Amino acid sequence: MAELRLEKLAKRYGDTVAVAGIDLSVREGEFMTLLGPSGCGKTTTLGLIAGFFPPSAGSIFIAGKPVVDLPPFRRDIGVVFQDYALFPHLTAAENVAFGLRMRKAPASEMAARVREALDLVQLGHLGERRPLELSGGQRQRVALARALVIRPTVLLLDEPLSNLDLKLREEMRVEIAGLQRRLGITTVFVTHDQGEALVMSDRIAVMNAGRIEQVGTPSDIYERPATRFVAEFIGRMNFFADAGRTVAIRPERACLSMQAPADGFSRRGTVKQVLYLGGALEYRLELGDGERAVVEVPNDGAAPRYAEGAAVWFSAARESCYEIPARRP
Amino acid sequence: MSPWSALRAVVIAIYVFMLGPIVITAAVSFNQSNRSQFPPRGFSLQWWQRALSAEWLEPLVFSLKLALLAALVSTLLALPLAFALARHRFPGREAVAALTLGPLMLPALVTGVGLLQLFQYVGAREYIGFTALLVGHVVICLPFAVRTIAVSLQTLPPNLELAAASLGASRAAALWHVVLPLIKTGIVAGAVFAFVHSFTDVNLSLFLVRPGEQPITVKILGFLEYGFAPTLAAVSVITLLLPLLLVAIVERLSGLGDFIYASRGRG
Repeated sequence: MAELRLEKLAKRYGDTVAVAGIDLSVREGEFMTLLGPSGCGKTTTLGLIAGFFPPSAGSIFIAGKPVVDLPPFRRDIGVVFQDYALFPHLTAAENVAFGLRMRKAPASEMAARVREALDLVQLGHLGERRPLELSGGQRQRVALARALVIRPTVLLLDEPLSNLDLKLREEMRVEIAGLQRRLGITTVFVTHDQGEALVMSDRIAVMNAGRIEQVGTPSDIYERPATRFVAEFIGRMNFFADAGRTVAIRPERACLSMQAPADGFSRRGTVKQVLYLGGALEYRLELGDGERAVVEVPNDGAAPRYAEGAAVWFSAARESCYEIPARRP
Repeated sequence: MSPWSALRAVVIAIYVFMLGPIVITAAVSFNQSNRSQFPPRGFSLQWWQRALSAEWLEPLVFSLKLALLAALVSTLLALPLAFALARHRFPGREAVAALTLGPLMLPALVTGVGLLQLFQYVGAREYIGFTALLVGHVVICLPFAVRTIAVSLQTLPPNLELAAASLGASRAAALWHVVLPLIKTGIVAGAVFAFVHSFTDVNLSLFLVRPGEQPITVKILGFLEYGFAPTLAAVSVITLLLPLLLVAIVERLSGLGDFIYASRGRG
C-alpha cells in the first residue's frame, strides 16, 4: 500500500505555477527522490507534504489518511532541512528530545530514545554540545536523529547534503541511504544532484517546471529516459537526428574506431578535443552536418588513443541507442 | 602626525568631552561651600545629605516607578507589534509601522504638547500626572522596544519554527519553546532601552506633570531656575548612576552583549 500519495497536487503563487498538479505514490519503506533543477517545484512539493503551506488544489494521503487540512504538527512527519534548522539554544540531545517532549513522552523513555537516536547517527558522545559547537556533518546527523527519533510515518529530506563538502557529502549519501533501509522508513528526498539521486534512491521522480517528467528506478531513469529533458538532465547524452527520429546515446556507451563498424549506429567524424579525466578519456567530436558528440573511453590501457584532428568513426551498438519519444507520452 | 596618532587624538578628545562634564559634576558635589567650584574647595558630604532627603528622593522614586512601568508596558505592547511588523504583510501595515516608530522622529516635546491637549480635550484632566506621564512615556519608549525585538525576530532562521512544527509543536508551543528563548535577549535589551529612555526624558514630561507627581528630570530643571547648587551635582550623579547600574545588572544576568542572535552559542 502506498504510504504517501499525492493526487493532482498543485501550488500556484498568483500567476506563477510552482507545482502543476502532480500524482505520485510512495510505497511503504521506499526511498523516493524528487530530482530536478532549481525552480522545478521539488522543494515546494516537499513543503506541501509537510504542510508548511496549503496547496492550491489536490490531495495528500499519509498512511491512507487525507492530511491536507492538518497542520504540520499533526501529520506524523519528520523533516531534515537544508540548513538543518537546529535549535541553537538547545544541546544536541535536547534538540533530539524536542519532538518527544512535544509528544509528552515519559522522561525515562525519552532519555533512552534520545540516546538510541544519537547512537544511531554515531553522536552518542556529543549530546551535550550546542549546535554551534558542532561541525557541519555533525549538525546534519543531529538533524537526522531529531527527525527519526519521533518515528514518523514519512521522513522528508530537503537537500540535506548540499551544505557539506564533497567528501563528507559522498560519505553521508551512503550512510543516510543505509540508515533509511535499516529502519525501513518511507522517505522523500529532494535534491538537484543526480549523483545523489542515483546512488540513494529506490525510485526517482524527475521534475521539471512543476511537473513530473518520469518516475522510475535509477536504472530506468538513466537508461530509459522518457523525455529529452530527463535524458539531458541526468548524466550526459548525445542526440542525433536519424530519419525523423531522435536517437540518444550515452557517451560511455559509444565507441571510437578507425574502420567503419559492421552494424549498429555510426557516424564519421573528427576528434576536436581530448580531455584527460584520469579514470577516463573524453573525446569531443565534430561529425558531419555540424553535429557534435562526446565519447567517454575508460582509461584501461587497452583502448587505442586518438589524437586531436584524427578522422574516426563514432559508433554504438543497437542496444545502446535509445529513441526519445517525440512528445511526452 | 601619522594617521594613527591623529585618530588617537580624536578618540581622546571625544572621551574628554563625554566624560569631562560627568567628572566635573561628581567633583563639584563634594564642595565645602555653596559655590559650584571646580576643582572643589575642601570636602563635605552636606550636599549629598541634602540630595538624599525626601525633597529629592520622592521625584527619584517617582521616576524609577514611572520608568519601570513604562518599560514593562511598552515591552508587552512591543511583542505583538514586533511580531506583526516583522513577520506579516497585512493591510495597514505601513500605517502601523509609521505610528509605532513615528515618535522616534518627532521631538518628544511635540508629543508632550499633543498629549496635554488631548487629555484636556477629552476631559481627562484629572489624569494629568502619573497616568498621563505613563501614557506619554509608553508612546516614546515603544519604538525602542519594537525595533530591538523586531531585529532579533528577523535574525531568526525562518526554518526553526517549521522544524518545531514538523516535530509536533503547535504554534503556541513553537513560540514558547523556540522563538521566545531565542529572542529573550532582544526583549530584555528593548526593555532596558525603554527604561533608560523613560528615566532620562524631560521634554515630554515637562507638559504632563502636576505638583507632587513629577519625575526627577523635571524637578532638576525646575531647581535650575534658582541657580546651580552642589546639591544638584549630587542629584545628577545619582540619576546618572541608577540607569548605569541597571544596565550593568541586566548585562550580567542576560548577556546583553551577545544580544545579536546566538553569536556566542548562548542563544
